[in-house]
Amino acid sequence: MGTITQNSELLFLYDAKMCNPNGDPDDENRPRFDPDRERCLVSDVRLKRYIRDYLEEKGHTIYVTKAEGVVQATDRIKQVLGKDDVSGADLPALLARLIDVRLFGATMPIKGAKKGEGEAVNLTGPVQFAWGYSLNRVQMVDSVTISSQFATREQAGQGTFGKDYRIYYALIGFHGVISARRAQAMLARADGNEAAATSDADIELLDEAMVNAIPLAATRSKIGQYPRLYLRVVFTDGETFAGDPREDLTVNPDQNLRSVKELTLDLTALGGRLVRFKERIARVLVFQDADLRTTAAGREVKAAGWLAELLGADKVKTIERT
Amino acid sequence: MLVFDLTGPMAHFRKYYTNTSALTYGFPPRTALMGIVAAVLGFERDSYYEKLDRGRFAVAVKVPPRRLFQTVNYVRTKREDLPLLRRLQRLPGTQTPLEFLFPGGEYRALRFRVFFGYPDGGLVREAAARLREGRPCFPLYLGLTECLASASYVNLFGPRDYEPLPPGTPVALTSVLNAAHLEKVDLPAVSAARLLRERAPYAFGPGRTLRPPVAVVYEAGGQPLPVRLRVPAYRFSLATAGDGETVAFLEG
Repeated sequence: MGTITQNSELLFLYDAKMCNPNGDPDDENRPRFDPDRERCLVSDVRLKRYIRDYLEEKGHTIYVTKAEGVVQATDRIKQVLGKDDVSGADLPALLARLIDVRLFGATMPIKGAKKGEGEAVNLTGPVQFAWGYSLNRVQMVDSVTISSQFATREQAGQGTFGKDYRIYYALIGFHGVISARRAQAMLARADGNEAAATSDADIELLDEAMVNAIPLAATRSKIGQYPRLYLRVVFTDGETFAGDPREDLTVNPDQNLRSVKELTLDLTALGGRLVRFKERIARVLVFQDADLRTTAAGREVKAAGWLAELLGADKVKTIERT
Repeated sequence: MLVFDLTGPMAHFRKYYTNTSALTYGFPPRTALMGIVAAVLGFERDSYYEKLDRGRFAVAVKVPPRRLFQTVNYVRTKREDLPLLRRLQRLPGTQTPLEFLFPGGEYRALRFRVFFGYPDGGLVREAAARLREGRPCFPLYLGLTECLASASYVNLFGPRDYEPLPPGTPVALTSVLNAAHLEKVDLPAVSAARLLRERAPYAFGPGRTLRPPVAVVYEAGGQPLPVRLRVPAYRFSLATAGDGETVAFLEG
């Protein structure tokens, strides 16, 4: 499989129950929050961290990793290549090894051929995510103080208190795009080396990571998160984008929620958007969790079956969690 | 003259002079507008600065934005930080407070209306066709890649389809104004406006070096601004937006 030639648009919904989907490091690690609209926020970086950790666990080499300890970005590049003298000519070799850079791009400190030239290589990856936000109004858990058996100082003689902020329930939506033109630009930067540009196989790994990564990232603040819906709309060309699908979604009810079983997700308007682009949609990959109830035009449907009605059964393919 | 809307849930147009905190303008400055047109037409990064500098740009803020800070971790690439990091035995990255624009009031998305003209009409028509069909060459962003944007085509005006208003005419300006073109603000006509004056990037030179920025004036809530200008303003009649828009191009 070669470099991708078709654009995709992604919709990814996962939920967070009694946990902290993404803390703000400068705000006592409180969940990122838009107080005016009562929406929980999750950065694109948090989502990409799940994907990177999953891919690393599967044995892929990752550029932005913690596994090698504290390193400077330059040292990380040297580790990956196993040599000290890294120049712009090594870019194809780096890209061929680093799947996260092939997907998301990176800023890599690589010296150019001439002195003072090309201090950093900026690569915009074909896969980009907007920040996620909750489709429902979210409430914070009131009780936030926790006690610890461990002391902060050696002579303290007693444990210490800390803060632990959580939310009750958020259904979080992400929008992403995959740009074939960006992958082709990456291929050009890698001197036409196909192993160094985003391939269909890379994107299939991304699909796998999207539906599997989050439940595996079960640290204390992240237990209680499950993927609920993943749609990847693949277009027939490398230029089409249909726009942010989250604008089309409504959660009923949209407040005081505590669990996925208390809500239904209305997909009706999303259908309108996809039908407008029907001729240019090659296929849609769908994952839907059994606990998420979805409706369209007033009746309960499964996303895959409903999309097959709208776009044709041959265009819809379902993905399962492994 | 091509008119299109840029929409998205969040935006960040970094002020060029900020360092420890990344602050944002309330609108896409001229360099960002250039980059968006370049992305629609498929011009690569760093390849279009001279070419698109010949274009004419105006932008109107259609949804009043509000501002929200989120602190983000960036990967450290500087050697100076390393001794400290090694002592801490972890990699906290570099934490940067990042200011975002969010839609204000009951709006679900930010909306900026862009006016773009170019000496070569073919280029404008190609951009218009791409936006009408939903086929930008590259994905569009409101300032950062994590602020994905959608563009929707509004209209394509021929040279005689919009009305020039001579300098000095009292106008209710809906666009962001280059302060150099301002003769006076008609203050008695303003009831509750909040005027902002900021220095914003105007153009890039070779190698992405910033050309001297210009001062711009705009109303923070996106309300029309009663002004008299030293340059012509232009009146566009739009079926979709009530009584249309009166804009001044950043170039004059």
